[in-house]
Amino acid sequence: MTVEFESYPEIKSYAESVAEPKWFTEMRIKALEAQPALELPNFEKIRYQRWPIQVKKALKKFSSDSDLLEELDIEEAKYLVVQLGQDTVREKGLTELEEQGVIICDWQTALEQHSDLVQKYFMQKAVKYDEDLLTAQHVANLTSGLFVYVPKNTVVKEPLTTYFVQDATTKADYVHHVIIVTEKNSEFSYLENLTTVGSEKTTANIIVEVIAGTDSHVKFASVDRLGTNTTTYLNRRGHLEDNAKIDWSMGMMNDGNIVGDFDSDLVGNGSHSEVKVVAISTGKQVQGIDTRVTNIGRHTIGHILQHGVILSRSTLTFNGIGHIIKGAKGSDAQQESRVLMLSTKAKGDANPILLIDDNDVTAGHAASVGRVNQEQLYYLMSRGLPKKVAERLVIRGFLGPVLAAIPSKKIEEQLKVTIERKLVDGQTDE
Amino acid sequence: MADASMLGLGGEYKYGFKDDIQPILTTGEGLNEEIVRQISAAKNEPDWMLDFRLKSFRRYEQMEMPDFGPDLTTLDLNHINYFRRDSDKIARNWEDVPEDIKKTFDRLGVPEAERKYLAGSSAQYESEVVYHNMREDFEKLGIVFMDTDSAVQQYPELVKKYFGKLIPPSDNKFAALNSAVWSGGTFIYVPKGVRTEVPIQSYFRINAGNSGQFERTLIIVDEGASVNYVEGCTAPNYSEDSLHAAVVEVNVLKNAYCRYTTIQNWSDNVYSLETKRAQALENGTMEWVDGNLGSKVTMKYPSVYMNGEGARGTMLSIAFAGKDIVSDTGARMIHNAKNTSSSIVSKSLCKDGGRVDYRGKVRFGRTSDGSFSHVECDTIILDEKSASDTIPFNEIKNGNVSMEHEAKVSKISEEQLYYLMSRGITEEKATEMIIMGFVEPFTKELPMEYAVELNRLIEYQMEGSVG
Amino acid sequence: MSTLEIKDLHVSIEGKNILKGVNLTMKTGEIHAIMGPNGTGKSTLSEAIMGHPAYKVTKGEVLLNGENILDLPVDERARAGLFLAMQYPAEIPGVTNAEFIRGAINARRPEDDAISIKNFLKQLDETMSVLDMTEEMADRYLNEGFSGGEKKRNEILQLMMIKPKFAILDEIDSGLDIDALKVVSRGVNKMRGPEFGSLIITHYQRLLNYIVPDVVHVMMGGRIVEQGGPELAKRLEDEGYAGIRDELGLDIKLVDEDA
Repeated sequence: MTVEFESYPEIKSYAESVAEPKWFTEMRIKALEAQPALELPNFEKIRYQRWPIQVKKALKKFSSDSDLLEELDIEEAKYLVVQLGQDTVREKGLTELEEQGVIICDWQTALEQHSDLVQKYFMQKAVKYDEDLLTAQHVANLTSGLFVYVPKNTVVKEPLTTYFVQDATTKADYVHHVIIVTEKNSEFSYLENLTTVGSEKTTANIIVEVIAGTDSHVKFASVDRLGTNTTTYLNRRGHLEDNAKIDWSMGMMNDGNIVGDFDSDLVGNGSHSEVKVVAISTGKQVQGIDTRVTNIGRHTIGHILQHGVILSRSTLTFNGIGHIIKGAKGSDAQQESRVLMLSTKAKGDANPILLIDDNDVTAGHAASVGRVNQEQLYYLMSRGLPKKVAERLVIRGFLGPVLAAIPSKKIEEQLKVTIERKLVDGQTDE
Repeated sequence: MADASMLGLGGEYKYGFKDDIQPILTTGEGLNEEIVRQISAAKNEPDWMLDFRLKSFRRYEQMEMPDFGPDLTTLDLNHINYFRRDSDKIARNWEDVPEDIKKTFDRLGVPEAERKYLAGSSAQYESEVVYHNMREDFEKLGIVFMDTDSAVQQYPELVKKYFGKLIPPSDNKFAALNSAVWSGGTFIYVPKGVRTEVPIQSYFRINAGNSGQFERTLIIVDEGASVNYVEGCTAPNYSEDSLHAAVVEVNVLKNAYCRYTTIQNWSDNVYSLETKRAQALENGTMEWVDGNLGSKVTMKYPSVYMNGEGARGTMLSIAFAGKDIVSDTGARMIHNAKNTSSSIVSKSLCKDGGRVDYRGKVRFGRTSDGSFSHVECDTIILDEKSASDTIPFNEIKNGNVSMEHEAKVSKISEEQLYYLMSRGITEEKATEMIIMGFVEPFTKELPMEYAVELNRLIEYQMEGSVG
Repeated sequence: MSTLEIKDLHVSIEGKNILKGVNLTMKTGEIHAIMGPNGTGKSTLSEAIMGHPAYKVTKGEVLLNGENILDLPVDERARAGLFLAMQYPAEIPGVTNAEFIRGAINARRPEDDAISIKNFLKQLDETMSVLDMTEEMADRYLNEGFSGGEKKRNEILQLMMIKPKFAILDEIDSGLDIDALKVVSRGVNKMRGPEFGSLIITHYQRLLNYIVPDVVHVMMGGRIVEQGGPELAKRLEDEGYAGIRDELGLDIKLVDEDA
């Protein structure tokens, strides 16, 4: 199929303005042309279809006012990348990594300097451009992102910390893509902060692809704090080869409506994914989180842990899906979904789903919904803590599995502050 | 135990025999409004019921097939015989039942069972109830136990008040279909404060090929009353597919109790697409005990709507899917009032390419303060040809409730197998023991003769499963 | 009289070699004890004899009355006359203890000659009373929710009901208090006789005060390094395993020793 650039003047002019490679522009157009035949993805019990989640605005390059960052509390780190809107604002420590052959660069640079590598991985292994309407819109409208490539036998001990700041001082869509490729026998640790400045009603479409090569190990942590008026589709997906491991730890502390689609495809034998998600829903927000692990290779391990707290009039849906494909002998799929309901007006769903097509496996799930552990509450109150403080402490313990996995003390502290703020807001809101 | 054979569970589908019976009345294949009218006329029904049927039929025509669960594309709804009558009157004594039908039921062992164990029993052959009797003392207590057709004639007020209320025709396509063409089924009314210990039992059997069975069961357990109802189902083997689309509505009023036990063992050409729903009012208890062993396709999700404070709903089920069987079952517990509690215990097994899925729902409504639910789903997949999905939905709209849900899927435990075999027990016998132990929480709740028969069936299913 | 011979047995688990050539011969009428420090392969030996699927025999033979049993599945070994009282018996919900034991007995009898329920219950009651077990233990589900002590007694109950030729008791004394230890020993001693042999695996000499062995073997580093009479066990209690190791000049690291 030859792609007619001329029929898409907006894409053409954008592509020229950023000088992106031809293959990439062609892919945009293919994604655009595929859209009429595609539908929104379906997630059980998450009704988001009427939200303004679709990216509809014309592809456009714009710059943000870097003063906007002043209102954010950006923690220093050894390796740091800060992006505001479509701009890269700061990079730190990356040259040191470059000497080891590690590539870390923003999306434009990646397309300019590592076009072949990007082409090899972008929407090829983990996510496909025409999977559904949202992935197709993502490809057609992508304007920012990060590319990480860790060559074989390379161990990056200190985490790379990134701040991706959505600029919602304008109504522009935020379409962002991260690729992390770890080659054979490498190790990489990553901490992502997603936040918003500004309060315009906006749409975000964010995809993260982690391609973990044979025997590699990726630690992925994130603290997501997108704004109240940002409607988000957040897709994070891992593709794991033989004996690869990904540890996902995600703190969903957003204030707006969001669909989180977190998948791991355990393709290689012996691969292993640990997915931990904690979430707090407050106000009137709706968070739908669909976490799936697919065991394809033999002796693969997929564990899902989801802990959520629901306050005020908000809604939180946790779907956990463990899918063992036929032939994935000796595999293990386990999941745990726990939800604390702190308001009588809130709504929560915990849907732990097991799809098992082989018998030489172990699979299980546990789900629970309930109130704050009364024993713990009693104990803390007997030491003189007021009820609401005690309650917040107990909840923090409940969210501990992800807190403990944040590779930066300072960001862990920040996350605690965020949790505290959301809980206090929720408590006063009751 | 002679009575045990009544269930038609054991052996090489031993109730796969087929009797050659000429129907007195049949509407032929397919369905249209005229047939619905014919059915109603044949039963000499009041207008309100005819209206209900016609409305339901129109609904049915508009509705879509379920958008979840097993593949139903091979079910040809135009090729079903929606009504047949094999006997022209309901016999009161066993001797009066037409000889051929009696022979069938004799093979099933219905009357012996009745004599020995049961408060009353009613047997349905094709679409209508042909035999019905009840122990006199229960009649004296005022318990009404009859086929639903007769109840429409004899207790129109009660029927009108409850019929189609828990399961409106619009609930799903097969509920609409049943509402249009229903025939037979059981009607039970237990008056206030009357408590029966002995089970009341009913029997269903599909004999002719490609015939539909649409029984309609309505149970009303009045305040403070209790009832224990048992039904068993068998069908002969046919190459053509039969459809069984029952609707069961159970009303458990204040302080009342109902246990409803079903063992479904249709042969492997039957589509069993049932809608079963109960409501429990203040401090009422509804217990479903549900075993599904046969059928080509089963879709059944008995539910309890806990509509009164302190109401309780439980579901205890097993499903065993063998070769070519798809079992898609589960329970729905809907908490609509304060301090209600529910429990679901589901045990599933599959082998020889069978597919056994659990699909359930627990919902806590806005007004369900202080409610609790506990769900346990365990599955054993016995060989690599078989598969199982566990799909539970838990919806919570109240902050003051608690729910626990656990599920496990695995093959037979190697540790258990090793332990038993280290005592000299063969692999086959050890496997069977573990399976029996696995379903024991279910079997121990069955009436004795059912439990024995169920074990026999499982033994049969397990034969040759090792090696 | 029957014999059990273990010849040059090498066993590995998950690719790790644990047994490195074990030799041992015993006859019915004898009680043998195997003592040894932690992690030396004592349990591996018992599981390999019984036929646990996770233990791979890489070399050697186990002969029961001259016949190699290593090719037999576990249930056939059991019916041939072996019994293993396990350290961690499996729990099997839904299967009562009584129905299980009866099943195990009937597995050894022709199909048309099952033990009568009356006979079985009589034997069961008698045996349970020897072991100070309450009647309800018969109706409880197999090992489910049993305490450590109850599980051990239940292993001995099965042993006494099944009456094997050779019983291996794998740390039957662990987790038992003195009273329970006496009860369990009483059961084993009751089995003693010309048609019964037992291989007792233990860390401690204490059990051997109650069940006096004819032969004591010391196992270290996956081999039997020393044999003797009951006095050997007493010596071990006094000197510890390090003493005997040093005396024999073995290059084996004991688990609890610091590097």
